Parts: sequence; C-alpha cells; structure tokens
Amino acid sequence: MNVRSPLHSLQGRLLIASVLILPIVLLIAGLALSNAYNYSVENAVKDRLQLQVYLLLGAVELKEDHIIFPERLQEPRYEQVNSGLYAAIHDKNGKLLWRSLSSILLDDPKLSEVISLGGITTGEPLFEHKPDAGIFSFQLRIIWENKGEEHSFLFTVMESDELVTRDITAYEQQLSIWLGIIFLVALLAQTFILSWGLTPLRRLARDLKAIESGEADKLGGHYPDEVQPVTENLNELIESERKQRERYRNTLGDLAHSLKTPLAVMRGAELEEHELHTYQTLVAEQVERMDQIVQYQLTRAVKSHHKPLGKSVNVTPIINRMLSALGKVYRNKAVLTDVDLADDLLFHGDERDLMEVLGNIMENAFKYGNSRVKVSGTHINGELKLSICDDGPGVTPDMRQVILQRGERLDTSIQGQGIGLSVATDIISCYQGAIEVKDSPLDGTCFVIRFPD
Amino acid sequence: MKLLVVEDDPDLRRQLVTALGSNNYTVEESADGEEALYMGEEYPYDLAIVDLGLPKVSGIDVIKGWRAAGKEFPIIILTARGDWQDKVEGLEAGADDYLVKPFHMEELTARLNALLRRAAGHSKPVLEFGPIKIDTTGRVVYRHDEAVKLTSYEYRTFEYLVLNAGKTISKSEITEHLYHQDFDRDSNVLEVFVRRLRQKLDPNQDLDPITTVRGLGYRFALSASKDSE
Repeated sequence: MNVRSPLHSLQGRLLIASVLILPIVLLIAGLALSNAYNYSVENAVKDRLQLQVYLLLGAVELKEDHIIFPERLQEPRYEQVNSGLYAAIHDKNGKLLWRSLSSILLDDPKLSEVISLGGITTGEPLFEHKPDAGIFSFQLRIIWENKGEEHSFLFTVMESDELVTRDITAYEQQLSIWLGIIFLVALLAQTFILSWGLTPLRRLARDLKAIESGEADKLGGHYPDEVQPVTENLNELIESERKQRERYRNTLGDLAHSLKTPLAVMRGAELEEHELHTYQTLVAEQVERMDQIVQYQLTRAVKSHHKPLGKSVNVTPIINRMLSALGKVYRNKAVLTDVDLADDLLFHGDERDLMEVLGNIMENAFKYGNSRVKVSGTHINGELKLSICDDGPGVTPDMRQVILQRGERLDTSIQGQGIGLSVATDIISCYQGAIEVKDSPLDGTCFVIRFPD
Repeated sequence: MKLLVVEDDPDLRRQLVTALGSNNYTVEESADGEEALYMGEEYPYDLAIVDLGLPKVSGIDVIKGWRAAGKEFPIIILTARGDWQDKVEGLEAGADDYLVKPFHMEELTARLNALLRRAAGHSKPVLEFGPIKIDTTGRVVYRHDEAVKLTSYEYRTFEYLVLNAGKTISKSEITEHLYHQDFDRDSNVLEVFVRRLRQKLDPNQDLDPITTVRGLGYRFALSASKDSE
C-alpha cells in the first residue's frame, strides 16, 4: 500500500507544527512560572530571616565590650538541637561570641564555610542561598557605641533549605503534570477543531469524486464563504468542460454527416460512365468540399467558446504581429498599412480566438485591397471596436449579409468560397460580439468588429 | 533551381517531388527535421518547402535553425491545422509564405515561382530582355514573341542565369543549383547546354545573351526592359 506522508495533508501539517511548537511554548511558560515561584519563596525566607536578625538584635545587650543574652530566647527553635534555625554572633575579628543551642551539632568547618566573615559592609545585609550546605543565610554587621567606644558585631541567622526545597520540588512536579495535561488537551482540541474546520474540504473532495465517477454532475449544497468561490468556479469549469465535450460530439456528428454527401457523390461516380477528365473534375470538387467541411468543423471545435476567467489579451501587439506576417506574404503588393490604435486595448478572451478573427479578416483586406489597409481600434461604451478597411473593389450591399453568413449550411455552400469569414463570424458571436460590413473611407470594404467587455 | 522538400508523409513527399521535378526543378527531399536542418545548412538550395509537423525537430525549429545559420533562401511552410497562430509563428520564425493542406499543386508552384523571382529582385512573372522574354510561370522562353523549344536542363540553366542577370556565375555554382548531389561535376555537359542555348536564342549571333567570363564562368549580359522589373 502506498503510505502517504502526513505532510500531504493540511491537518497533518498543522498537527506536526503544533506537536513541535507547543512543547517549546509550554517549556518556556513552565520555566517562567517556576522562576517566579522560586523568587517569591526565597523572598519570603529572606524576610523571615531578616526578622529573626532584628529579634536577636532586640534580645541582646552590650555590657562593657561583650554581649549578654537573656536566659531564654523568644524563638524556641534556637533552643532545640538541629531545629533548622540557627544563629551566631561574631566580633570584628571573626571570633565566635555566641551561637544558638540549635547549632551545636553543626560541624564547625561547615558553619565557618557558610558564614562569610569578611566582605560584609556595616549596615548592608547579605542574604545568600548555599545549596551545597543546604542553607539560607542572612547576615548583618552592626556597630554599637558604648561609652565612646565602637564595637562591631556580625549577626548571622541561618535556616535549613530542606523545607523550601521540598516545597519547590512539589510545586515543579505539579506544574509539569498540569502543563502536560494542557499539552494533551490543546492537541486534542486542535485535532477536533481542524477536523471540524476542514470538513467542507473533505466534502468537496468527496463531491468531486462523485462527479468523477458520474454519480453527480455538479458540486451541490452550501459551502463556507471561503470555499464557495472555488466551488462556483469549479462548477463553471465542469459546465464548460461538459459543453465542450458535447460540442466535440456534435462536431464529430456534423462532420461525419456532412462528409458523407461528397463521399456518396464519389461512390456514385464510380458506377457511372465518366471520361477521365470529368471524373477528375468531380473528384477535385468533392475533395475541395470535404476540405472546407473539415477545416470549418475543426476550427469550430477547437476555439475556446467561453470567456476564460479574468484573462485578457493586449490587442496592439497581436495586430502588429499579424501585420508584419501578412506584409511578408503580400510583399509583392507593397501594401501601405495605416494603424490607428488607442492605448491599452484589451480583448477579454482567448488569444487564439482573436488571432483567428483578425487573421481571416486582415488577410482578406491584404488579398482584395489594391494598395492600402487601415486598421483602427478604440474602446468606447464598454466595448472593443476594431475596424479593418481596404481600398479594394468593395462588396455590394446584397452580398454583405451573404459573406458573413455563419457556416451551418456549409456543406451546401457555393464552391470556392473561403470559410475564413464564417469562422470569424462564428467566433465573434461566441463572445456576444458583432461584425458588419461597411463602406470604406478608402473606397473599398470595411469590416467592423465589436466585442463587449 | 534546387529545392528542398521537407515532409514526413511519404505519399505527399513523393507527389511533391514528382510534381516539382516535372516542373523543371531539381528537388531533394528529407523526411525529418534533424536531417533537413543539416541539409539546409550544408547545401545551396534556392528554396525550401517545410511541413510544420515534423518528427525529431519541429518545422518551426528547422526554419529558426537555418535562419540562425545565416541561410536566406525563401521558405514556404505547409500547415495541416491552418490556424493563424501556426501561420504567424511560422512566418515570424523566418518563413516567407504558407500553404494550408490540402493544397493544389498549381498554387504551390505559383507561390514558389513568385518567391524565387522575388529573391532575384523581380516582381512580375514575365521577364523581358529586349527580344528575349522568359515566362517563369509557364516556364517558356520567347524570342521575338516566338516560343523557343528548350529541353528541361537547358531551361533550368537559362533561368538560373537570367534570375542572376548581370552576375558572373561559376560553373560549379550552376551545377550545384541545377543538379543532384551525385552529378558528375567534371563533365562538360554545361558547356554543351550553353552552346545549344546560344544557338537557339541567338541564331544570328547578333545578341550575345550569354557571355563567357574566362576562368570564372558565365554571365547573362542583356539588361531588362523597363516594364519587366
């Protein structure tokens, strides 16, 4: 079985994008939340320890050059060994003056490693977290004046970070669980939204399949506003395709039908007594007739028959190309051409159709004109007007309609009459345009073509 | 005049070669675009007839190739579809005229005669040089309005000299343009033709229409009557 990559589906692409991007977003959000929580927890610890330092400061007294503690401190945890709250006071030389009962089991080296004796400026508290020692510390150096003498003391309060760390770890676990849940819910929601949102496209594919298999002949029902223009265009396309198919079928039918007459004539002639010369003439006539039929029907079947959606062709370059091509073919006549075209003349249709119309009419002008051809084009009253005039013998008024007659009855038409004009007339009428023959200002014939926008 | 017919359909190609051959043209043929491209670039043709729908290399590309290689001989395109887009593209590629299939052989010869004359600088089908008149359509030569009986090769030789009137044409150029590639170039057939042409066109030896330019070739020396240009 042919396994299609998920990248081939819109839903697959959007889901892959979400699976890749959502974890990054959630990770950043998680880090931000966890940092904010850490910060607020540490701040609370700092406030607490600062309070403890102030309480200690309030509890001690200075006598001569040493300090005196009350019997019992207000905070019971100082009296309880390994309670997690410790305090110490050092003099300015770093000599330990006092430590709380709670800290007696702490290793001395550990304590001195934690306590920064130097580098603390008087009056500026230092708060630190030492994860290696598992301790928060708050230190404050103060100077007491007693009888004109200054005494410097360093107050240190420490708290084990065990509780806080446990708290933070629990918070982070919760956070991860919830972010994970958000991730899954978001993915599920997106899958559902996408699947719901893309339903019209799936329906479109199903409906197209139905058309392909012949169960339906157009896209029915209502589609969302974003898809509706597509389905309308598709319906137009399907309709024009259907008409084209029908036209091919009709053309083939017409072709077969109209070719059978000359074939019958020739088959009949096989049985008749003919001189070689009359037989040759008969064959030549019928071949000519068949050629015209084939050419006419082919041109009719191939031309586009509908306005291509929004497509337009610049007329001026096409006229110039035709003029230079015809000028080459009719070089011996040295035809003088006079071109008078407005700027930006646009033909809203197929380039091939325009070339066919212009080619047939302009070649007539070169063929029947004596020495001058004038091509002019304007855009007025919402229509493109092109006129091609020559200085030839002209067309009598009663012949004017005849030469423009559309080629339906071509298989009975007069020998030797070209089919160019009927093809042109046919194409013009497909565009709801008009063609007429007028007197030429150059004393010949003028063909005036109008195409509505 | 040497023509190249490029057409892939064997029946139509055979008909073209036969019909043009019987019209006193030397005709060479090719069935595909690749070969045609080579032949047109290598051999001196006076005109080519090219079908647009060819195998290997399209007719349009063959014409473009020749023109890009500086070949200036006239080209007539044959098109089966007959729509103007095809015709205009062919003419823009470098062709000089077009015919839509099926066509009458008479129409083809008329068109190619016109192109050959045009290439030689004449616009009318009948060229007059004093008492001598040459009808390039009917392929007849008149002397004092009396038709002169010429063989096919004599006519070809004379027409080539007339269409290049005033220029000295080397013997090898004439043989290249009038005969097939396998013609024996060392033979003195050309001298025989020229001698016979002189006898037929100038029996009294007072006109001297073809002069021999020693060591170089021949020249048609009469000048055209005014209304024949």
